[in-house]
Amino acid sequence: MENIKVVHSMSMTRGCDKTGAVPPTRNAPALRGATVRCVGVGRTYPAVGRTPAVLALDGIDLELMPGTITVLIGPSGCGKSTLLRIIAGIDSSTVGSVRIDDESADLARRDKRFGFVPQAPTLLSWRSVRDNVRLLTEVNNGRSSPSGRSTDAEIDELLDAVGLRAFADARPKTLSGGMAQRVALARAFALRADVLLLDEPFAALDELTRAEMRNLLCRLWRERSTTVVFSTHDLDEAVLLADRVIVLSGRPGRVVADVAVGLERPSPDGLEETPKFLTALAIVRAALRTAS
Amino acid sequence: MRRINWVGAVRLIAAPFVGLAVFLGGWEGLVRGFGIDSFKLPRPSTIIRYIAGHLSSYWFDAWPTIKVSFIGFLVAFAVAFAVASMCAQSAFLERAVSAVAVLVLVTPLFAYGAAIVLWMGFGNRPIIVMVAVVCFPPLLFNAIGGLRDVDPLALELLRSVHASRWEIYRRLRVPSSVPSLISGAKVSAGLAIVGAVIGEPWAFVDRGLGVLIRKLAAAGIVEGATPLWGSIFVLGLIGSFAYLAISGIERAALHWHGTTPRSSGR
Repeated sequence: MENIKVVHSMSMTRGCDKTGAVPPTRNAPALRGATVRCVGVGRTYPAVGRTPAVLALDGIDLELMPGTITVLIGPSGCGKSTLLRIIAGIDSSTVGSVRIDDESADLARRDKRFGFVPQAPTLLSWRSVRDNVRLLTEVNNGRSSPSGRSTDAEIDELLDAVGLRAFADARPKTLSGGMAQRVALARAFALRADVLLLDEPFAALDELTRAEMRNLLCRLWRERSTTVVFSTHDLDEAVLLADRVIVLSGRPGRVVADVAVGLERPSPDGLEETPKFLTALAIVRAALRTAS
Repeated sequence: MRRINWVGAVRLIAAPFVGLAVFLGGWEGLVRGFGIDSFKLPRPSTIIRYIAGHLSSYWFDAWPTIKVSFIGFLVAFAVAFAVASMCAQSAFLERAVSAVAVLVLVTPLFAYGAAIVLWMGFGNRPIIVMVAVVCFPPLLFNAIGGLRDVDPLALELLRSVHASRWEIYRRLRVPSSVPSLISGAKVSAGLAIVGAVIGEPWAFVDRGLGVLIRKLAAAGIVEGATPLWGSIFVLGLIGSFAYLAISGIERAALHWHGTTPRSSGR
């Protein structure tokens, strides 16, 4: 099937530049973060035993501008997680390349330029909440990202920001699912990474907690602006968070639509009832239907 | 505030004592009820009285057994952890080492005890080696499992900041393996005493419960079975203390680890 790969510019939202990338919203901070460029990225998993080789991703071309939030959405198995892992340098593409500014993904990973939030909070049970937030900054003798390493005071500030200062010395088993995910967010931001990659981080949470987590993410992003790439199954979540929604087709994952959104963030009350939101949602839903 | 369920706690502590009391009471009743010759099978009350009257002589033989069991166990633990740490980095090495460990596991210690004594000579050294050999496989398998089976997402997370193998080992693999290591230690603690008791007669040492049991078994025809059963009870006590000590360590370690000890929960 021929890829649609059309940038759906929405009249009520900000426009896109030539690459389809969207400049940050009015209420976003000055541009920081890094440019993420994917050129012809493809990933084939080799045959194992009787299982044939699987083409997971095919010909992904993307340019994500610094300080923007891009949401990847698509049917299950479309390769969202694979793409995130390739961008993070923890998986490699079989064809094509990923550049973070002028660096390869692997070099950027060495420089701790990625903050990664996996599907589950993945907190180490034997470390306190504070020590979990500090974990990634300690790795490799505390080698820091180009933006520097968070000090202990900044770690405490982050804990304040996610509302968990009182739990700093608590163990993860005493936290609820939402609290644990807030620790995971703080851990990613503690790296002061240029690129934050979130792999369906709120999937296991209830709707109220998800809304709370979205607002928290937007608040942290505004304060410490990085380039955010976020994967989700949830249409509302995609539209509420994104500057751009990238719609991937079913396996093999290809970009079938690139929708510029950029609603006000964090979402004010009643945003979901506004024509802006509903129109954006309809466009992404239509693109997703095509993708499926 | 956390409320303590006192009834539940008392039931939990009392359960093993109740079990023991029922077992020993049943034994006592059986010997009395069926009029079994106490020369051949003494009553538990007789055995306990006998131990109480000969405490110092039992301790004289128990201490060397405890010592060699403990040293052998520590040697096995250190070697198993070191080997498992290497195996956790290489699936090939794991399979190669596991093959040898299985061979050790399925060969009865009794069979190669004499060979170890022939190689190392008499004394405590061959006993320590026998204890270490018998403790090694369960410690190794549990250590490999614990070091290898870490949360894949945590592994990915550390890789996202280019953590080296050493960083992953010390920050993730070792702490993750604590519950498995303790499970292995629980099994091996009992095996350590078995190894020492089997090894002592082979190594021709002067003291030890293994030596005592051998002597008392021979003397039993004349003196009756009570002293022999006394040494068996003492062995059981030592094994129980070892188990309780490791359970205590387990509680402390799992509290630190942030996980909960397995419990029947009924």
